[in-house]
Parts: sequence; structure tokens; C-alpha cells
Amino acid sequence: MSGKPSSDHELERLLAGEETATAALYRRLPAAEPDAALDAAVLAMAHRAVNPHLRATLPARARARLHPWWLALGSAAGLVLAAGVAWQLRSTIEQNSRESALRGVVAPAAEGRIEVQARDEPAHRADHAVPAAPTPAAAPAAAAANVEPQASAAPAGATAQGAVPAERTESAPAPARATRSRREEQPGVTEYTLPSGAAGPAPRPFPAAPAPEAAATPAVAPPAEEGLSKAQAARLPADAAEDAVERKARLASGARPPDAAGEAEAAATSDKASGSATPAPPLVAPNRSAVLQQNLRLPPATWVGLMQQLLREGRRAEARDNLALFQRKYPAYRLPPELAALSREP
Amino acid sequence: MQGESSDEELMLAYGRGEVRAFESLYGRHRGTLYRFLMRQLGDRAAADEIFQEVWSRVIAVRERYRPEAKFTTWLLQIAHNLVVDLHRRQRPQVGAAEAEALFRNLDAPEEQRPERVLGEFEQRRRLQRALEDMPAEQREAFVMRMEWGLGLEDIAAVTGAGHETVKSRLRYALAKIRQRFSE
Repeated sequence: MSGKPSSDHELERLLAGEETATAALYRRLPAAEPDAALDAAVLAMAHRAVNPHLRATLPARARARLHPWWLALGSAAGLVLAAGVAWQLRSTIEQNSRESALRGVVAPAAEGRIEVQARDEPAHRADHAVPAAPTPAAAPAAAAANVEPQASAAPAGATAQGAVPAERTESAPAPARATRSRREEQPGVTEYTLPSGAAGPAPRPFPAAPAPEAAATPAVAPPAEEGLSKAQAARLPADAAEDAVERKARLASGARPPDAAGEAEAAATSDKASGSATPAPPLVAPNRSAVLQQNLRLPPATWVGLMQQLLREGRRAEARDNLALFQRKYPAYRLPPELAALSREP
Repeated sequence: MQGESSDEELMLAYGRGEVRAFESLYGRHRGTLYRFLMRQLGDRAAADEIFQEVWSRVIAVRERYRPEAKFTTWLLQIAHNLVVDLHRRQRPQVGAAEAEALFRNLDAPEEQRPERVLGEFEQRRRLQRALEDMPAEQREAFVMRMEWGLGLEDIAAVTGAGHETVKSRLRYALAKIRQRFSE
């Protein structure tokens, strides 16, 4: 109780400006001061507020300090971009592999048959004087020249399929081998492999991711004379036919590779560039391909009727061509007995 | 020239772009403001931060400054508001009951109090601890009086409290100090 009056008294003395013991003691306490860095910071702040040019120079210094940071950010962004592109490519490759695997599982027998038929076809076409591929002896010299008549002979309406044989003839052995090795891995196709000595490298485990890429590269492949062996050159007609059918099947299933048109254009461009101004005489093989292409668009029942008519007219080879393609497009379709029998023929 | 100018004139000059005026103003008040903050916050890092913030606000409003009050009052108002914001988050307030108990213990006459016989270092240490322990409002009023020589009216203007409230806070602050010396 007696403390309050005492404090009041001291307070009055304090407020009156008298020197009290407490005030004297307070003045002896350590006198804290802002350090030089704090002073500099405040004064710099005051200067920057008044002088705009100082404000402008600060970002420049900041930019200079941030330079390594920008480098790191740029590197990180580049890595992310590369990873994204790689991921997209991987997805595309996997999708293509799945499609090719699906084709191999769904119609292995049909594919095998088509290959045999395709290998037989050059004999047919030879009757119609189709220079689909050079003879083994003439292969090295005529490889480039033979491209021209084939491609230019293609009908205007069927540029893609017309370009197929030409492009195949033109393509290098490496992509061809890659395509072939992919087929060798699929069941039912291995029996129709390359002649001995011309076989490609050992097949990779299925699914072979780079295979679609390899199959898609012929547009930029080097000329044929670089590495074509005689055996490979002999295989070219078969490969050309084989690829034509495969390409048709891909078209039918809607899984057309994105660069197919580019390949056709590239082939056409190379043809133009090679100076084949004079149009070659019409060829049978592309015409048959064009007919097949048209048949792909037919309803299944109509197509079956057409094949039956071909059989009745004795055009067995054409019927077999159509049937092979038909079975790829409609693998579950129940065929009439005569066509079923045709499909079972070796 | 600027040494003879008042705080308000210096602040107006800085508002017109005279950096020298700010330097003078800053030189006048940097120590007292910093000590005020140190006493209030008891932490150098916090004091540095608030100190810089106070001056940055002064700089920001330089062109709008009008000398309607003393510059020191205005400066301390800024500091006070920032410190109060910080204290609201940090320290509980001391109740009135505790303050009454404090006065009941201060019975001894001034000449018989123990601080008379304590050493210089110990006296400073006890005052320091008394300041640290007292409520922020009491300490603030006390430090304003000690550092800036502000009267009751000025302290009331800075803190927004009433005249009698400020007087009471000062009284309690002195009582706390005396209690610390009687322990």
C-alpha cells in the first residue's frame, strides 16, 4: 500500500525532469546502436527512393547476379523438354510395337501366305514385263535407274502404293533387314525368311522397340548400290510386294504410319529429280494394287462376292491377293467354303 | 545548415528529394529509435528488422508527409505500431492483480532499498531484467520517457492511450523496477 505513494513521488520527479536514481541507472545501460550494415541499408533505401537511376542500376546488378541461376533454370528446362520428347517417342514406339505384335498374333497364317504369294509375283509380273526389280546381275548398275519407271508408272490416284515398290527398290539394306528381322520374330512368318546368307542379324527380343522406326526410315536411306548383295537384290521384288501388302493392311486398319505420305512424296520427288520426264508404260502390278486398294473400301459381303467371282473366272492369284488382304482386315469373318479352301492352300 | 533545421523541416526537404536532409534526420534518431526497439524487443535481429521497416515507411511516405505533429511522435507511432503487432503475437499481458501485489511489496523507504548497496554491474543487470519482465506497454512508456524525454501527452499521442493510462503505465514500470531491486 505504501508503495503507490512512493511510486507516485518518483514518477512526479521523473516527469518533472529531475535526476532520479532510476534515470541515472538507465543512462548507464549499454547503449545499443544500429550496425554499419543496417545504416548502409537504410541510407541506400533512401537514396534509391529519390534517385531513379540508382533504382535502375539495381536490377542490372541483380540480373548479373542471377545469371548462373538462369543458366541452371535453362538447363533444367532443357532436360524436362528432352525427357518429354523421349517419353512421347517411347509411347509412339510402344504403340507401333503393339500394333505390329497384334498383327502378328491375329493373322499369322495370312501374313505367311501373303509373303509366299508376293515372292511368286515377280514371275507373274515378268510376263507383263514389269521391271519391278533388277536381275541380280544387273542390280548394282540398274538399281537407281529402275526406280524411275516404277514410280512414274504409278497411277496418279494411287501415289502411296505406287511409291512403295520404287521406295523399296531405292531403300538401303539396313531398313529392309530391320523390317525382315521383325517379321522373323512373329509366329508363322519365320518359315519365309531370307535366303541363306542374306539373313539379317539375330532377332531382338519382342517387341523390338526400334523396329517401327527402322521400317519408317527408308525415305532418308542411302542409295541401293551402297550395300546390296546379290541375294538381297534378288529378294527385292518379294520385299516390295510384301511391303505393299503390309502397307495396304496398315491403311486398312487405320494405322498408317505418319511418314508414309512423306515417303511417297520423297520417292516421287527423287523420281522427278532423277529426270524421268517421259511417262513409263502402264504397269500391271500397280494397277492390281490399285484394285486391291479400292476393294479394301468394299463392304465385306461385297468383297467376298467379288472374290468368288474371281475364282469362278479362274483368276485365282487375284482372288488369293484379295483374300489375304480381306483376312487381315476381317480376321473373324466366316468365309464361304471355296474361299476357305483357297485360304488353306499353300 | 541542416543541423539547425528541425526534424519536420528535414523531413519536408527529403520529401522534395534532398537525400542529405534524410541523412541528417537519420543521424539524429537512429540511436534512440534503435535502443527503443532493442528495449522493447530484446532481440537484435527483431530490432534490426523493425528498425529497417520503420525507416522504409518513413521513406515511402516522404512526399505525403505533413508536419501536423512532431516528427519524433510520428516516427515513434510507426515504431510503436510495428512493435505492438509483434508483441501481440509474443507475450501475454500482465493482469492488474499482479500489479497490485507488486506495490504491496514495495514498503521499504528509498534510502533503505537494497539497490543502494548493490554493485554497479548488478544494478544495471537488475534494471535490464526489470525492463525485460515488465509488460510491453509499461516498458514502452518508460523507454519513451527515458530515451526521448517524451511527456505524458506525447506518449499518449504515440500509443493512442489516454493520459491517465500512460501515467499509470509509467507508475507500474517504476514499481517493477523497484521490486526487482528489492529481491
